[in-house]
This record gives sequence, structure tokens and C-alpha cells, in this order.
Amino acid sequence: MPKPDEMSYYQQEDLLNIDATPPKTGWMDTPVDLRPGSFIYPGKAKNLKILDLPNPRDWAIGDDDWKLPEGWKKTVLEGMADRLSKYRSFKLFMDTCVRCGACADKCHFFIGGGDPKNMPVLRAELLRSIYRKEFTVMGKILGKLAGARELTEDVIKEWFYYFYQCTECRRCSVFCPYGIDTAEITMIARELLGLLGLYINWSIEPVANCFRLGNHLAIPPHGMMDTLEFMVGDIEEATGIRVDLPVNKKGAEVLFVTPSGDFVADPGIYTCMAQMLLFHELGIDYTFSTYASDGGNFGLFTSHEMIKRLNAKVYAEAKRLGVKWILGGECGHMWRVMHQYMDTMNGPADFLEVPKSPITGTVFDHAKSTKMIHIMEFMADLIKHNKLKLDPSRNDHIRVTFHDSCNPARAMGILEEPRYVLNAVCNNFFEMPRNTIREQTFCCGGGAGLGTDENMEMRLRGGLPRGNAVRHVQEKHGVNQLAAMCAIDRATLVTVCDYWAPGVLVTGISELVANAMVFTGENERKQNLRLEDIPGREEDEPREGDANDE
Amino acid sequence: MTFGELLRENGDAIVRRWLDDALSTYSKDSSAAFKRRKDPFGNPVGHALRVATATIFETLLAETLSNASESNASESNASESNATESNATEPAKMHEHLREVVKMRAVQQFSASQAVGFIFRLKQAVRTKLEATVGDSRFPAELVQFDQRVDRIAMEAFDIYVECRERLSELRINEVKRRVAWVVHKMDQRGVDPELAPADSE
Repeated sequence: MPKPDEMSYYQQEDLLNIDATPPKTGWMDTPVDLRPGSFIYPGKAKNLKILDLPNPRDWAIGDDDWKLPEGWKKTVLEGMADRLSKYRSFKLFMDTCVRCGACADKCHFFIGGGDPKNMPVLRAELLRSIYRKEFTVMGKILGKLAGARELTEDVIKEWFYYFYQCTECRRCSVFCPYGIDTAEITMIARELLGLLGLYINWSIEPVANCFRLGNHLAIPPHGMMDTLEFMVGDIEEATGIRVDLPVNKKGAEVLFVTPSGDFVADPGIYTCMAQMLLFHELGIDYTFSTYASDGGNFGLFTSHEMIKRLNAKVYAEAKRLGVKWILGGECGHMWRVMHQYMDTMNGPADFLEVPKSPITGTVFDHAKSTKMIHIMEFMADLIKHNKLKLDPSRNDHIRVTFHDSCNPARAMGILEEPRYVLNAVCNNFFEMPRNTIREQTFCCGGGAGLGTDENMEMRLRGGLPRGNAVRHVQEKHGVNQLAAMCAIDRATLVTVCDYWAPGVLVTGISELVANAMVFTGENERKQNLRLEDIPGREEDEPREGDANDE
Repeated sequence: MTFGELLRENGDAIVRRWLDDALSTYSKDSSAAFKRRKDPFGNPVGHALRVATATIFETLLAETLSNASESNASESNASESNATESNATEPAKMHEHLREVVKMRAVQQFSASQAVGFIFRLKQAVRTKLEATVGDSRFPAELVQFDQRVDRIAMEAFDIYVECRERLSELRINEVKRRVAWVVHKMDQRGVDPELAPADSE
């Protein structure tokens, strides 16, 4: 037997005849490969029961039998027919696509993973092929030739897998010449899956929590008070200022609604602390609410009906507390709900006033209907009118870049305000490459209910284009922090950066603002809100316990 | 013409063939897209593969050439480490580009062997191109030596792959910990609930 270092070991013909190309089958004939690390666990029965959703049962992705309800096929087709008649956009998106391919290489999951079914056009075809078969004459007659196929259990599995690999970020839609909104296709597909009791637990559990307790994390009112009090303590330690903590305060001028992620987890908590400091300094008459305790709305990732159910608390609480208008914190998808659905679903908010800054007198006319503005609009206005005393040099050790969160950027057009604020509070701000920011921004890979840990491999694929751009500015400009105004970003981009651009930390914009702000009565600022020493302003003597702090 | 010179002459064709093979590990539509777009931000996977295959080949070529010249001078086989040292700057760049590609493939829908297996395709690319140029493999000893160098790179790729997979698990754990770490820390600071404290005296 020849050894590898002997020539006879190598048979030239053998070497040349290896066909390394994967088998080529059409997409309809390529079965879905449900690989652990790339899918999300199914919704638990208890959560479906809380929400009165159909077919609650415990099941696993790896099971052959997903325990679909009797007559499931009829349910799906009737659900499709209902939505085709209800949503003109859905009908249009099913009919219009000419498969030009403009969207094909624009999805972050495709770019990072190379699975052709993550090309937005093909992901939509998963649904469109059934539409053709059941709702078009050509599809009924010509079948596969016309791009139509039968609805089978395998198709349902494929839907579940791929429609929970879309973050509804809408980057592909920017490039579609017909303006097909893939996010809406995904939303409908998820609704259809929901009719069979097919949900992911990472979104349906937060939804169930939100329905009972007002926030995704199931923080009860006293728990929320606790965490906010912890923050008050940390703020005092960092700045020497004891801020007020208005909660459920009747008659306050402003109701402040923010994502619940900012109440408990690093680094979102620093964003929340920063906002409390800002309101305190300006003497804003505001209140938190333990009922409207989450601006985030995972209903958006579940169904239209669920968006409405979860969002209703915001106006209801504004009415109960008798506030004049609503201010929203740094959140992404929350903002899409507030701006594009809330008024239609739960309005009109005719009991509220058009938001008016009590400090500058600016009337936010663009929010005339919803009566709610974004904290970044509020802050940019304050800075524009010179109402904040800022010392950006406190952030000089930070070289920051800005990640446009999909919803505020693409869905809302909040592009300039965050940049305006960042430039005012940081001396070192660097943009990522042009085709990775603003309208063309790349998703974090964890939005739309995908930000859990069991699909980490998939998230890192989806996060590759973003991480790649971050690493570019890290190498080119020494960027060490990534600012984002979205709670999901603040949770998921930490991991994306740790893998693709290690050394880059994630921060909220408000946090940078508060660290640069000079507050009335503050002590000599030696620490930032994370209670870390500010370089160049360190304490003279090390504090007790610092050395072994793990 | 020596083996090294032949490699150098056919370098572009070899690298192109190798890149095509490496891209063919993705599905047909995907590899076409990865091949088409040159933008490093719109197409990081295609870009990284293109840069890595070229750099790895350059490094191996340099080793082959310097090894040949050393053998001629001393009539003895230069060791691998000598060859590596003589191209100290190139390997550093190569390791970086190799890492970049493997890091990507470690989180894609590949098995471990598929993720790093593209390295071995270089052997095939070299043979195919040499076959086309000189008609037969006239350099059995050199080919064996070249193959061993490719194997070395593949081993390195496998180490990177394992490192990335471990990192992946670590990141998953870190994320779960981070979700509650702050609140738990604060609760701890608040002091232990006497009713929950372990009764040491008993």
C-alpha cells in the first residue's frame, strides 16, 4: 500500500474525476435541510393558549409529524383567499414579480449564507407557487411549467423554515423595480402558518407576556419599579445626581414608552438611564407606565391582529393617565408600529395634543395624527436650539460608527436626526461604506423575532454583511463603538460584533448624549453610565473591589 | 522550465479554476451571484474567497520557488520552516485571509469537511492546468511536496474552523448570560434574603 508521500499513492485519473459540485435539483425538488443552529424552536402550547390561538400543542422541529390540525390544507387556502381579498398589496405582490433578480443578492441572509431560498424572490416564490396553483388559471392548468406546485406538509415545513429566516428588514424592497415589499409577504406567510398553530417561541412567548403584563419580558409592575430604582442608584453613583422616578403619574404632560429590553439588559439599560437623566435635567413632566411598559410589539412578527391587540395599551394608558402626548424611546420595530399601524388600528388619538417640546416650543406637526414622536427627533431639536450643555470631549476615547436600524431608517426615514445628534456629542464619528447604511442599511440578522440564541449560526450568517462593514471602519478608522437606536440591535449586534468585528462595543445614542452632557449639580465626572472610568479622568485611587471584579 | 516556473506561468488559470471549484460548494445560483459581484460589502463571501485563494496560491508559489532555488544551491532539500521564514510577510497576510474565509464557512450550511475541503481543490486545479500545459505530470516529487503544503494549509483551516465553532457556542452562552446578568447582580447587591440564606449553623 503506497503512502501519501509516494507517487503511486496518487492516481491521476481518480484525482481528476472527483465531481465536487453539489447535485443540481430545481428548488421545488430540493427538500429543506432543517439544520440545528439555523431554526428557531416552536411556540409552546401554554403561550398559544394564553392568546387563544389555534392548535396549541408541544412539538419539535425535528419531529416528522408537526401535528397539523385536521383539514389544515383547507385552512391555509381559505386563509390565503381571505387575505388576497383583504390586502390589495398581497394580491399585487403575488402577481407582479417578473423575476428580474434585482433583489436576489440584496438579502443579508443570502449574502452571508448563500442559500438560494434566501434570495427574496425565491423566498416569495415559496408562497407564490401555491398561489399560482390554487388561485390562477395558468397555474391550475400548466402546474410546474407555470411555476405552480401542490401544497404539502413539506411546503409548510419549508415556509416555517424560510419565513422565519426573513427579518422583515425590507432591504430587498429598496431594489425592487415594482416596489414589492417582501416584509409584507413574510408577514402574510407567518399569519398563514399561525392558522395551523405554527409559531416560533421567541416571538409568541413575548407576545403572550406582553398580552398579560404589558411587556415582552413579563416584568410585573413591582419588578419594573425595582429595575428603574437600580438605575436611579447607578445614575447617582456615576453623576452624583438623584433623578426623579415618575411611574404611572396621572396628569403628566408626556407618557414615555420605551422597549422593555432597556429595563433589564446591558447595554440597553444605559440608554434608559441616559433618558432618565435627560428628562431630569430639562425638568420634563413625564411618566413611565407599568402597563404600557413596552413600546416593542412582537405582534408585528406574528399577525396584524396581534399588532393591534398588543398596541392598544399605549393609547389606553395615555388616556387613563391624562397625558398630552407620547414620547418613544430608542426602538426600531416599535417605531414602525407606532408610525404606520397605531393610528389606523387603535386611533384616532383625539384626546391627545400634537406633540410640542416644552423646552423649545417646537410643534412636531408630522406627528399630528399619531401624537407620538421619537426620542431622536426630540433630542435633535433640543441640540439644534442649544438647550443641552455638551462636552463632547468626554467621548473622545470613543470612535463611533452608526448602524441605521432597518425600521427607523428604511420604514421611517429617520436618517439625519441620529447623525446630527452623534456629531454633536462625539468628536470621532465615522460612517460605514455607503451601500451598507441609510436606506441600504444591513440588518443585524436578529430582527422580526429571530434574535434568540438557538439559531445563532443563522444569525451570524445574517449578521455577516453588517459585521463586515463594521470591521472595515474598525480597521480603517479605529472604530471601537457601534451606536444603534434599536433595542434588538443593542442585544444582537453585541454578538455580531464579537464574532465579525471583535473589540467593537455596542451603545445606544442616548448613552453617548448623557455621557457628554454637563448636568446641573453633577459631581466631577470620572465615570460614564456604565460606571467605567473615563480615560484621562480616572479616579486617583483604585476603588475597593475593582481589581477582582469579574 | 521548473515546476515553480510552470506554476507561476499558469498561476492565474490555476487560481481561477480553484476559485470556481470553491464557489461551486454553494448552489448554482448562489455561486454565480458570489462570482459576479466584486463589491466587498455587497458580496463579502465572494470577495473573501477571491482574495484568499489568490493569496494562498501566491504564498505556496513563493515557497515552491524559494525551495527550488535553495535546493539548487545546496543540493539538499530545504525544510518547510526555512521556506516559510523566507516569506515571512506573505504568510501573515495569507493566514488572515484564510481565517476570514473559514470564519464565514464555519457558520454556513456546511459540514466540517465541506467547510475546509475547498482547500484540497487546489491540488486538482494544479493538476488539471499542468496536464493541459505540458501533457503529463513531469514533476512527481515536486507535486508531492506541493500537496503537502496544501495539506498544511488545510490543517490550519481546520484549526480555525474548530476555533470558530467554539466561539459560536461561547457567544451563545454569553448572550444568554447577558440577558439577566445586570438584574441578578443588582439583586445580589441588595443583600441576601434571610429566609433564602443557607443555614450554616445547622
